[in-house]
Amino acid sequence: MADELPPEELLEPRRALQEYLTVLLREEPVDSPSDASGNEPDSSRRVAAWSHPEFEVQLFKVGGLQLAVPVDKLHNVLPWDTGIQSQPEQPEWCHGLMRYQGRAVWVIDTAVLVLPPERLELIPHCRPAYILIVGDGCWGLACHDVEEVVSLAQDEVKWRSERGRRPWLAGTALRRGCAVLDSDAFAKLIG
Amino acid sequence: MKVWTVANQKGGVGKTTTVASLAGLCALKGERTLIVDLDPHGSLTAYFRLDPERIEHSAYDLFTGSVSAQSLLCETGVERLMLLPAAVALATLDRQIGARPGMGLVLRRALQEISEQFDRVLLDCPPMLGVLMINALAASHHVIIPVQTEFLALKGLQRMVNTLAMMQRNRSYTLPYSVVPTQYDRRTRASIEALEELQRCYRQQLWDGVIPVDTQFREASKRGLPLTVLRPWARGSRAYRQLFGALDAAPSIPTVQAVNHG
Ligand SMILES: Nc1ncnc2c1ncn2[C@@H]1O[C@H](COP(=O)(O)OP(=O)(O)OP(=O)(O)O)[C@@H](O)[C@H]1O
Ligand SMILES: [Mg+2]
Repeated sequence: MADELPPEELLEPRRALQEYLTVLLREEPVDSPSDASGNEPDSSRRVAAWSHPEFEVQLFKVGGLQLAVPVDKLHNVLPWDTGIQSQPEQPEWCHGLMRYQGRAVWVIDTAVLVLPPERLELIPHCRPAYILIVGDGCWGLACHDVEEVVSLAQDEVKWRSERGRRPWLAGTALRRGCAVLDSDAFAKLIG
Repeated sequence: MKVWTVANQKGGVGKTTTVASLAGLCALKGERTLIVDLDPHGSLTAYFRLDPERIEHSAYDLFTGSVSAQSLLCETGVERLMLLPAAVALATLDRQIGARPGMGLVLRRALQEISEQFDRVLLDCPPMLGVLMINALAASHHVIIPVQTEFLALKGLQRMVNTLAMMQRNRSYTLPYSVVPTQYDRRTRASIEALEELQRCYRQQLWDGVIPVDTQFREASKRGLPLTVLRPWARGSRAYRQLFGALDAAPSIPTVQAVNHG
């Protein structure tokens, strides 16, 4: 306690602070300037860059509807989780929040996301059987059935030019009659 | 990599809540996000269920220089969101390193080391001026100052702004800041008057929204998740989403970090 003698003369408060800052921020001239600027992620959406020249998709079914997600974007397939917790104020396209590998994942009611309201009424409402963990691992797609993995060529897909109100609908694989989802666009859900 | 510091020399204004909420948003939007707890109390660390009293490696180790920043990163339970935790030992830094030359630039160097790995860094500061806050300010591109909308709120803000002005003299470019009204309750006179005063005195730097009082913030912290992740549609989350939009749209400042020699 007594080992610390007070400085002989205290500086005037403003100067004291200024000197403190100046000393702490003194830089030895070894430091290279950081290039922290300029590497913003490119957010402009070209027609599915992952689709070139061909790509694999996981087919799955929601209420009789055939859908596909790129395999590259698929983290995992889980059985339907009863531990999903719905949250106050959550929108109708959500089942709720679940934990997956210690992380928080929003489980999406895929049919609501994909279908226009008038068609939604026509599909049977039964409990999903699986959850596809997609994209960046933050989103789970509820579905009724998981089918095979197939390969699609980029030009087999009719890409939507305008993503409009459902930006996660990337296009339609004509021959297979299924919609291809762009799970990267789910981030826009909470945009 | 963009670095934002959340600071105010007043306690309890919502700094930690702001860091957690904005970080949750960044991560959900797809940014690789790092939060750094520079408060010896370790509230941000505790928020994500790590114990600042027991933690083995923390921001403290940056100052001893014994380990790499990389090895200090911890998972948070939110995809893409990493935490560099605090330990109680941080409280001793000011005494130990006092005013050793260059000690204000430790964090900036450490972040440069890992700048390739993150798009966004958010720094949570203790509510007092010291070597930790200076490290945060020296490392950042923008400062966010939460101000609780209540009686005497502006007192702490003035102090914080003075500190920024002094920091400025040691930098070759200005460090922009935004004032963010928090815990706003439009039913109380104190909130309304405080906001009016902010509008009078800080028009330029004042964000034009408010963060409302929302009891769900406390609940989210109990659950160990940012409210913006747990309940993106809660009132508080919506407000932070607007704030993020406004801050992110602000013109970015030059990020070459040349520092004058005083
Ligand atoms: N908008 C809000 N509505 C309701 N409660 C809030 C809000 N913001 C913060 N709180 C609560 O207020 C308390 C203080 O908030 P917080 O810890 O974020 O402040 P701080 O500035 O980091 O405090 P300190 O200076 O002690 O580090 C916490 O319990 C938090 O949950
Ligand atoms: Mg705090």
